[in-house]
Amino acid sequence: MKQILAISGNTIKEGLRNKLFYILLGVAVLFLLLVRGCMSGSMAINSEQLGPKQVADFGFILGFHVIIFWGLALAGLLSMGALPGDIESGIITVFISKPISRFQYLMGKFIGVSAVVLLNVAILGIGFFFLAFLRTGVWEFKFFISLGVFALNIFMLISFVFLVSLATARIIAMVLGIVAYIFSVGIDFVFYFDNIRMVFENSSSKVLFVILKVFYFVFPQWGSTQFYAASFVSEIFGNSVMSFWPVIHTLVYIMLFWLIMVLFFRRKEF
Amino acid sequence: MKAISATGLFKDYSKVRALSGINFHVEKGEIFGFLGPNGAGKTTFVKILLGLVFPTAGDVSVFNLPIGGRNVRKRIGYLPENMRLHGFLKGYEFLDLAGKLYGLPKLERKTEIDKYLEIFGLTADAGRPLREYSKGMLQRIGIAQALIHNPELLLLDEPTSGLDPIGTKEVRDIILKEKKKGKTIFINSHLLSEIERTCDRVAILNKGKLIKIGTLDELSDSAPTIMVEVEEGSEKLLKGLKKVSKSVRVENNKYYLTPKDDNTRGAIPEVIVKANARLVTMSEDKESLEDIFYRVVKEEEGS
Repeated sequence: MKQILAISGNTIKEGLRNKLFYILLGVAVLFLLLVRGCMSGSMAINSEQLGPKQVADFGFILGFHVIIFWGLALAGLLSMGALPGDIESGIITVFISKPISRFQYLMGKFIGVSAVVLLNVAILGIGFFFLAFLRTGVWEFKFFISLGVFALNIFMLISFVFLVSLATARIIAMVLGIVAYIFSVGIDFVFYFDNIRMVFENSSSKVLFVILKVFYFVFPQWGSTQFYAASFVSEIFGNSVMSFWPVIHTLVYIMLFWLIMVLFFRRKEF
Repeated sequence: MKAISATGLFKDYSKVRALSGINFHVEKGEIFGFLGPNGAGKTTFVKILLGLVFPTAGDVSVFNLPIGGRNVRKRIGYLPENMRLHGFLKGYEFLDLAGKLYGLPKLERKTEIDKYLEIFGLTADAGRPLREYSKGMLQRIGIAQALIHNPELLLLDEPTSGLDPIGTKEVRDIILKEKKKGKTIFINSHLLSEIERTCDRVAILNKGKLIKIGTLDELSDSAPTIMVEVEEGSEKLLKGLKKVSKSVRVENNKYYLTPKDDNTRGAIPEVIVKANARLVTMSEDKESLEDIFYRVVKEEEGS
């Protein structure tokens, strides 16, 4: 365990001494300040005036999406170089020639990258939480449950990019990660929300529905997990049938990515 | 006791055979030099010992233990060739990381880090990021990380690469000091003079094959090397000298010959005259490692 922590500590230092961390953090703070401006005043949807609690909810859901967007961006950028950077430069031989297993090395890198991303998310989350309180007077503790559940998506994206970056160029790994995430959001959109699912279920094209359903089950459910996480701060993201299912699905996929990664990495030569 | 043992070792890459039936062993406590031209398979062999590369066939062991295990790597200190490091780390942090990976307790880490920073003259630079280090400083801190856990076996891939003469001497002194402590040292190097000064035994590898192994005395021919210096060398002279000797190495206008037989020395003046060259000096010397290396590689390539 000490060796894993040594590698993750080194990866955290690498992340925190990278200007990218501070640039993304700064940009995200600017966006959150803009979101803060949306949390007061009078707002109406379909000519129906929103109450102060609803306005605050609207602000929290916007803030949540700003934080996860920049969190995912940082996760993609850091994870795409974490393994290839060490492999291409030969630094990896300094690590794995020491008495540590390759699994420990991978786990150390994973924990390190995850910690840097979660630190970024935590700074933004706590900052926004207090900003929102000052604006609305509402302590929305469920906001942290949302971010906590969303952390699963970050772990899955990092695992996915790690795995792909072992087999191909780092930029391709990053692009594939983004494309897969967007694709998942698109597919899951159809199945997660009751109203949209029912429209598809009742549509005449059963073949299309079955194809989408297959994709929904076999593809990593970044989208559903994101919607489920958002459901803690906004009722709009709730549904009637699959509250905890995306979390299980995501955990299984994280383990699957790790299994493939470890099997591939243990036979890789440096 | 054998520190390293290889039997029938083969390593194939997709299009190249990097090692071909390697058989040899390194005794515990000796300094062993591994020589060979670029691409001979030296680094591949070291990487196999560390489990970074997997053998295609054959057996390798370190201290009679199968390679690749963590208990074996714990007993090895490794300096990679052209070592690259994380530039964001400070010198002290890098050594501390190495110590942590070897499982050293905090107090021991601090003692060892301070000791090696002092030995390698890096104490004043310990707080600077590695990206600001010169090549020589990186090489020194690389050796320090290989020594920090007091290993029984040191694998040094080009340990004096990038070092100035003072740094080279310091590394040589450290290698000899570690040998006195009973450690086994395995050196891959192109710097033949360094190997000659430090190693007890030497193996010469060419195109993945082990072509010679032994002490310098065992490897050198009984006949001495003849050095012929002329005012201006020529192809004709080289051709003539090759006819009367086993191998010829050329350095500017100097020709180093390994005699074929007792008649070689007598035949040289005639070759010089026939080539219209002007002799500056001619001398005999004990065959250096450079001459041995050159001769055996040429012999192997000619066979």
